[in-house]
Amino acid sequence: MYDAILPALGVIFSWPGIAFLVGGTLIGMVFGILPGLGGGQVLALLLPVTFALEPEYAIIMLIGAAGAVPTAGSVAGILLNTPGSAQNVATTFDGYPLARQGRAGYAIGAAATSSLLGALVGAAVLITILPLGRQIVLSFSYPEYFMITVMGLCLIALLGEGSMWKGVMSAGLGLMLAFVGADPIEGLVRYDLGTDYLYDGIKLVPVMIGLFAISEALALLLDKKAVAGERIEFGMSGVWRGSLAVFQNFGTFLRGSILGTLIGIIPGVGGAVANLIAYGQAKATAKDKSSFGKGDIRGVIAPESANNAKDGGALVPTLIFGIPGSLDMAILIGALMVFGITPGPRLMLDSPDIIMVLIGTLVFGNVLAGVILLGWAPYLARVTSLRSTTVAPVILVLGLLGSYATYGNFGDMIVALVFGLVGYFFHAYGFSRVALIIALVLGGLIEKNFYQSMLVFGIEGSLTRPITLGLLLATIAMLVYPALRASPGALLSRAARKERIKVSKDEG
Amino acid sequence: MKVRHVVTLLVAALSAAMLAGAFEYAGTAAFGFPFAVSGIVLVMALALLVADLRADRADRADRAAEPASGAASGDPVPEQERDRPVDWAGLATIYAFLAGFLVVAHFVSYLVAVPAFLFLFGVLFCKERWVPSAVLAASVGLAVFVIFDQFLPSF
Repeated sequence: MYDAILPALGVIFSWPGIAFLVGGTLIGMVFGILPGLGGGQVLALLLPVTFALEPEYAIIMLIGAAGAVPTAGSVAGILLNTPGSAQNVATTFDGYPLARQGRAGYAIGAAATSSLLGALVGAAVLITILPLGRQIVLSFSYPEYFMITVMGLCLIALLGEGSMWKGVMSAGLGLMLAFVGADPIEGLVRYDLGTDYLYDGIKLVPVMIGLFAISEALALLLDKKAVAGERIEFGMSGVWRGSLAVFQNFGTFLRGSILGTLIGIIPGVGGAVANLIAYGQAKATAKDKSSFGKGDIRGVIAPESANNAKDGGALVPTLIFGIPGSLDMAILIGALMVFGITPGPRLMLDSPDIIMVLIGTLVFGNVLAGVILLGWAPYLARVTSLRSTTVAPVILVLGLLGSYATYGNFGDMIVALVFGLVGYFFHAYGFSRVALIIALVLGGLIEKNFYQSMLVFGIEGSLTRPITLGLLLATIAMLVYPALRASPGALLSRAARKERIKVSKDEG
Repeated sequence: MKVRHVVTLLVAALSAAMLAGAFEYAGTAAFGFPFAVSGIVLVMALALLVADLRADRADRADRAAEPASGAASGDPVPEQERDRPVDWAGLATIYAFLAGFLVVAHFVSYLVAVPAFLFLFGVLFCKERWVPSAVLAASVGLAVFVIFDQFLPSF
């Protein structure tokens, strides 16, 4: 299989392969930046265009576009608190506070570099484990999926946004919203209020756009301020410092990338979970976590490396079993089948050249997207200096169109507006928008995988599976470790304070 | 009752409605996660509401006793969460414009709604000058036309 690497590079870098790579990447970046539009839409758009092409060039264009989406999705999240897609949600937690401090270039530099390098790690892991992918995919079942979602939900305890009480309430509200629609076991439709719209549940994209984009636009309009204050870094120096920060926090980057790849391998979990869990682990393992949520660059590096690395992982079940782990991968499988390429165990034996073109495009498409983003970062950062009366109306319009574009349903625009108000008041009164969105992402997965685990394995059978047990212990460690790590420092500072009081009394 | 109390009350009302709604469904569909989660959120919201109202009452009593001393120490409600002023008129006006946008987008076309909203909102609400508002409306309208109308099949 590895013999096919050089011929694949030849296809990608020869004419017209390079043109399709650049074209696909640029189109993917446009879709990534626009809120609500993502990999699914860009692949659906390009699919008919690629029918007339040779299979290799079609794959280059499709993968180039899909790979660029998460990289570009960080831009709107950092500049305007408007994540381009669900897989960029966690990037906003620290990216937007950095933009408000006038350091958007720094954040974009870190996001572009960690995205680029994250994709490289994902591809490297993919190439390494592809021969073992079958065993890895088969070792995951419902109990493992359940534990991963529980791990994601436990992040809420680590976020520390506002009061913990309100954070848990917000998460509960997110779970309640996730339960609207068809029950995953019995298929009974719940809480649909008699409307067809709620039959499939409350959709993530309009809620996300409402909570983050529209509520932020409302705040900008009512406060009448620009995104950033008076001190804004416009030059390339901030961008380079952002790139350098990735290497200075290489452990955070590497853990995020590996987590992203592993989560990508598991079908159906997806980039939104990958970037949230990567953010949570970055915070949990940080020595000083007080700056998270206020503009900590590690809060940008971890989720951005994870959401690009997950693409490499997602190709494992797609190529080995023909199981699409996401909408993007489902469309990709459809495209491959149009060209007579059937993903499955035979693909590695029959068409190693196609697999290598695919992996090579993923790598170089991400490199190209990262380099373009680094070059544009100083100009993009200027958006934060524009007056709110210029930026906010555009956010409102693009947010509403983006929420409609995802599913083509007019009701989604109304949902986005309702959650715009919810987000505005939640932010104003200390409730956690982040906890709500995490719970909404994970709620359906938790419920479905819990019942399926119980039906298939039972409690004992679920908990005695080695990976489930490992994930359970990792979750407990993630929750307990920060407290254990903080306690010596806290004890010391308390002791030092007592000592100071004693000394001042003695001196007095 | 202040706005933050109303927000908590709305969360409580929603969870109460979902808890009551759970009785309409049989089996795991409702008497599993939805029942448990909405019950917990209802209890938490009511507890928060009661604690918040009591803290406010204690705060008022303290202020009445010591008008110059400011907020009472040991107040459980953080300063940043207290009684932020809400520009209701501004909020209502923005939503009126957005409702207009939805109506035009639904019954006419979003290609008309986008530039019309940006121009009228810029001039009437944001008090921007006509020319920059018209340029912004035209350029965003054109970009939206190219991306959504020419490229995206779902529109």
